[in-house]
Amino acid sequence: MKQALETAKSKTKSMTNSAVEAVEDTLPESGEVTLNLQPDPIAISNAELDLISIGDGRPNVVQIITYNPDASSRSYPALLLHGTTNMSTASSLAGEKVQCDVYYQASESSPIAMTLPGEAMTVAFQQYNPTDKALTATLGMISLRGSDGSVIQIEGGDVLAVIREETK
Amino acid sequence: MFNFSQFIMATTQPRLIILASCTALFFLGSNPPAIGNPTGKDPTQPLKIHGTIDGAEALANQLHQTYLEELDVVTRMFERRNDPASFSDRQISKSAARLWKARRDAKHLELMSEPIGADLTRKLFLLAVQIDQFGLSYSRTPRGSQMMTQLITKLRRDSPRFQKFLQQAAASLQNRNDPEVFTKQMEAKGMQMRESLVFFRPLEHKKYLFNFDALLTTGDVNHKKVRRMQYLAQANDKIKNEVGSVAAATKEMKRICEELEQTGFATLDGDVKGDGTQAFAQVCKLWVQASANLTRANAIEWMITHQTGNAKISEIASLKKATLVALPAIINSVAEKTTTDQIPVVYTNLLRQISQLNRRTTGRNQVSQACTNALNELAKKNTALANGIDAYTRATAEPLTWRKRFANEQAGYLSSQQASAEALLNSKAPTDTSNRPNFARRPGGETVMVSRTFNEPADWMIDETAKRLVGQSIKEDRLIRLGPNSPTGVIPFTNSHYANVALALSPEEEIADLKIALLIDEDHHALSLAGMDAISSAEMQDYVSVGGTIQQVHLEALLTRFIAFPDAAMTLVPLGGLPQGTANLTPLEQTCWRLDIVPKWAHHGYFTVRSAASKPLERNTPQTSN
Repeated sequence: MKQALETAKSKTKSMTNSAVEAVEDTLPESGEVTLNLQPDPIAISNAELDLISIGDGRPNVVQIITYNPDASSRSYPALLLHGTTNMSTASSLAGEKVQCDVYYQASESSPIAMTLPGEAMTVAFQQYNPTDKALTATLGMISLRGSDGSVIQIEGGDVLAVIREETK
Repeated sequence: MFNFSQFIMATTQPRLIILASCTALFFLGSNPPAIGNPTGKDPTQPLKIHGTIDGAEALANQLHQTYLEELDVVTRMFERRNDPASFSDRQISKSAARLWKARRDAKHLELMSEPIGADLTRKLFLLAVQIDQFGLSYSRTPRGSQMMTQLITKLRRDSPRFQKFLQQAAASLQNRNDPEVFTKQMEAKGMQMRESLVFFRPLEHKKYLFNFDALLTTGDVNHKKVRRMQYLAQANDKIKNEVGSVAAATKEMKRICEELEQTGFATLDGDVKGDGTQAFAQVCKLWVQASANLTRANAIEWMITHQTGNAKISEIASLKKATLVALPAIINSVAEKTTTDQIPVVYTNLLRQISQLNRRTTGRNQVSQACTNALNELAKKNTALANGIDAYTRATAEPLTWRKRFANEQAGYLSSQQASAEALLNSKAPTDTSNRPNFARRPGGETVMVSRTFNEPADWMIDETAKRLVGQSIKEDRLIRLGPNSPTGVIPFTNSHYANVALALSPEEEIADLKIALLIDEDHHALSLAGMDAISSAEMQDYVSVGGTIQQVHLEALLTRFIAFPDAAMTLVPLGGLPQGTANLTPLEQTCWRLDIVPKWAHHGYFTVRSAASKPLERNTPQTSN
């Protein structure tokens, strides 16, 4: 997972090499997800993590998003992991396992894939990086159903997610 | 299979009073139609009457009985049509006289705007044509010729007395005597004459009838004028009653709002004091009831004007306006009178009611739009709740968006296997006329599956349509459940039909999954309108669309459906609207088809659900990344 973090960092750096050097240090990590799909894994070059607290006794929500939900159009491949936790801060997720619903779409014209009712992907959070405000996690195996009836098998994966905000 | 006649008497639940009001026995209306509508299973059932005019029901029952008896006579004689000597002259005389009178009575039923009148006119005419034919055939047999000689002698002998009768009849007309008495006496004489004249060629009738027909026509014109005035008065009285109830409902809404504003409670049904959420439900219930009042009044206007324009559209709009003023006013009072700690419970209760009502109105978001500001103000009274609503909305927005798109795409695949209701009902197919009476069979050409008018006897229409439609796959939009415990959902009336759908699908897994995504458990409800709409529609099984198999078809008359319209059937007409008949077709002749559908799949806004028996989607191969 360290390797993923380094890869993401160097990638961000390489993207900004030609930009003004002074802003390099303040440029936020964009995060990254690797999904082990058959036959080839895919990489998504953006991942943000939200931890949202409703504050009325419900568990808190963890969601990892690879696209900008406020943008008029999505970037693809698009992935949302959505689960609940009793942890109240994103940093304390390190070492926690969270059961997440998975929503995935490879491209705008592809079928949408979702976890089946009653099933969830295990997201094992590993390391919190306070400097980058980022969390790493490994993804469990899961079979998704496609909106066209197809089956999409995910053989695990890795996440480096930038913590977007914490709401209490 | 499901018995659609067992129309739901569900228990009421306080939190959903409005919906509970829809769960009464669906098609047992306040009017007393004693006879059922024809169905594919039992095509011989006569069309129901709406009974706006006194005496219509008794007359319809009596005429239907006459029709059945004479149909039996004609069918049996038609079998022996090549042997007219075997006919009974007495039977021919009797049938001719009865049919002559029955056809006049059917016209009377038409004047009462009963669709069965027009249907009986059509049916009795066909029988009369056959009986006339049998009379002529018999007259040409040796026995018939002898009888004709005797008949001519008798008619000539009776002629002076008959002419005297006609003079008296003319005088009665001149003196403007009671048209009722005139009609009765003329009909008695007319039946007598038909008993003999059925054996004569039509051209010869005049020789024996003199000016009978002219006098009868004049009498009919006079009598019709009197009857029309009476019936118009009766119809207007009924409209007045319905509109009066609407005015009372609007007044009641205002009273509830005022009492609630002043005291924090409102006197509701009986002497029970209700709180704000109960007052909200009561106003919703009043809206439903008053809308049913206006739907009936509007349909009686169709009957009076002979057009299906919607005369009560402005009243419907005023009623909606009054309701959409009352509902936020109640929320404002609730905000004033509710303690801070109770606000979350009250808020979610109202949110649920609003989401249910939204789905039952013409414009789907009108209720929530009217209530949004008041709801926001209510929530602001409890800071934790207001913050919680914001956080909840952010925490659930993305799963909802994904699930909606997923469900839309799945529904696209599922519905590609089924014809839309509009396409199916307007398609053409060959007609099988083998169940028609022996005298009416003909090679069946291609006809539209579902006719918007009664252009043939209703029992033929239903039989021939049901044979083609039962077992067909169909897709319908917008399924609304009758009530929270009802086993039936309804596709509201549109394009000459509506549908009842057995809620035979099991969405429990999908609902449980949706609840997880929406962070809902026994103690925590949805806090956003989108989240509440998702879960309340899932629990109610209100669906965006449904695909299934037509199990049965019923043929109703449009007028009867919406005049004899129980409050509990209001789901058929989204609130804020009125049923739309077909322009340019006379209301008396317009059909209203009911389809009973057993679903194979349903499209909820945020999932799809399939019956256990239906096959999974076709593609089942692993998909790669792109």
